[in-house]
Amino acid sequence: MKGILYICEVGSIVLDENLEIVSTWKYPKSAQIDSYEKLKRGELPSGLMDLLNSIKNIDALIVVESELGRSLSKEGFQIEDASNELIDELMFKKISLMVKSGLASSKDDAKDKIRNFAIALSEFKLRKVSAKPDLHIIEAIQALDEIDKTKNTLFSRVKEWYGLHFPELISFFENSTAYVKVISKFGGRENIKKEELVKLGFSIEKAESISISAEISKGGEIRKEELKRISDVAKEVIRLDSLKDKFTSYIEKNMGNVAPNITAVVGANIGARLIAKIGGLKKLAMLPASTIQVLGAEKALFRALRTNTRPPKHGIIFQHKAIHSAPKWQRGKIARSIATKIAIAARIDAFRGRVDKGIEERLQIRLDEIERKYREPPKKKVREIPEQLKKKTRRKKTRKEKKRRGKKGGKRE
Amino acid sequence: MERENRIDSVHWLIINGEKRIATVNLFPGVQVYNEKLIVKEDIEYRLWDPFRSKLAASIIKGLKTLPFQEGSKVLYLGASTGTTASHISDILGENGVIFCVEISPRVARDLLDKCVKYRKNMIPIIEDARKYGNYYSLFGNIDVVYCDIAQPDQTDIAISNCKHFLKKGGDLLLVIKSRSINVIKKPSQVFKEEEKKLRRAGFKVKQIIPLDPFDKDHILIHTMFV
Repeated sequence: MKGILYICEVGSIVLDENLEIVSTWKYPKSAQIDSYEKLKRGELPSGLMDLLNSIKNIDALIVVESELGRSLSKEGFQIEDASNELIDELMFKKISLMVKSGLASSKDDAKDKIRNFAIALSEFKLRKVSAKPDLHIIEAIQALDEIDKTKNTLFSRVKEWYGLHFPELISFFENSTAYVKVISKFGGRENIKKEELVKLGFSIEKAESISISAEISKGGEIRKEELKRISDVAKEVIRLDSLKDKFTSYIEKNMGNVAPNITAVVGANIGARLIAKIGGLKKLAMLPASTIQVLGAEKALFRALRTNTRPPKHGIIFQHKAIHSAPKWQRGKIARSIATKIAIAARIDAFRGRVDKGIEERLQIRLDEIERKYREPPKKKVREIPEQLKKKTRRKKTRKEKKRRGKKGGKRE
Repeated sequence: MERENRIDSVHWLIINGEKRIATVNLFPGVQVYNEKLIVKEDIEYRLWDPFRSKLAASIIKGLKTLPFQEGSKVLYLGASTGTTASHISDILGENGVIFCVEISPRVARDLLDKCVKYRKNMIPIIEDARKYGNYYSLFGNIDVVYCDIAQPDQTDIAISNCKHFLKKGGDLLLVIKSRSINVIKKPSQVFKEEEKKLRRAGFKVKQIIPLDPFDKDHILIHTMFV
């Protein structure tokens, strides 16, 4: 006689071919999820073995879970796979089977048990997913961008406000932090002393010209109270700047752990951005290189698809030095080779997790080859415009025509 | 309070002179997505926002019959945070069951916290709707499949789920978002092709409802599985 091994939420049931219950094993209440996970993975807990050993007259077992079937056949059981019809039938009769086998006291009890199990299983899955380290990198890189944005907003406020008092100062600085540091240290322009500036690390010439322009500034007088407020904002900018550094080093450190190969190929920053864009390391590893190449250039890509024009060559990876510092005609080739290496690196990081030392070198070899081979710009080809586009192109409106249509230059296409 | 008899379980309330739809709150006092709760004649209603829920939009745009009622079993693919699913749960009542399939862990968290926790008729399934073999907690015959997932192969996913779980004569409500199937093609073209797929798979189309202005380039197809 054939038996059916049916794994349900709160216990395992052995049925005969007419779906009559032969024997039941109820999982310990605290270990329902655990038992389910184990059985799904094909492990054989002692309770299951007791259940199977207790039954007699059964020569072959029909098993729904294929992993479990494999492990059981290794243990010497005669195993058959369940047919789709049987799986469906079991599902339709699940509630009544649970009641009949004594796993549940009534239909409502069975429903309750199934629901509680479903909730527990969902929570278990969520807990597992939320512990992934790449999620923290995604949050961190987004936090970094937000900090940067806030810093720049506040910085331009300081610039405008302090500019009322000493507008010339900004022209001496390229770097925003050095500027705000000077403001928060000295306050009013009359306090800016040449010697003090030199102490802060400015060259003597620069310090002198700053102090001279402070004397002859076009800026208005300012009260202490306003200076205090400006300096408060300036301090915030300095604080945000150091916060930014902290995040950058955090991302670098953690990308080195989570995705060492991607980091080797494109650096921590771009790598983290790619992972954030697609929503996880594993997802990135599933992408083809051609998608990785244009990740972040979706707008341009879909425009190209819609209008049948040329697609973008690079998305986020444009920030890679090898691409944006290369001559234009090489960029497509470089972007392609970097994207393929990212795809390989992502797969190693996601599934193997070891460092592949050669990957960076191999990329460099190809980059050198591109540089050597395509030193000269290609001759310009005259591109034929597709027929359908030709019709759409309109003559540019003259200024007169635009004026007639009103301020904004005609209606939108 | 005015009531249109088109669909019994959906109530039409007049709020500040505006006609709004609502369902009776299954778990009084608890909001799911900050919707307004309104008590009239000792019954608490939850307003159903057509801009948030495509099913609500389709009802306002003239869905003739709602295929599920109290006690039905519904399989909901793409439950998201449970905005629409909670209203279906209201309609099904204590004796109905709604299986909520959702793959994204982030939104499933809200689904669990805001809906499933309170609503005894909701059963969460965190799984890819393509892998319907892995739905673990499903039981019994399904009366209605509601599918709102933004995937290029969404119609095929809905069809395969129906073939597996939906009872004969059961209904499928399928939301088609032309933009996630093909951005290049014209929406009307996409809709036609998806409708054809359904007909070929043995579905009888009962009603097609365009969802604008609530959702652009969306339609809801009400079909019957024969």
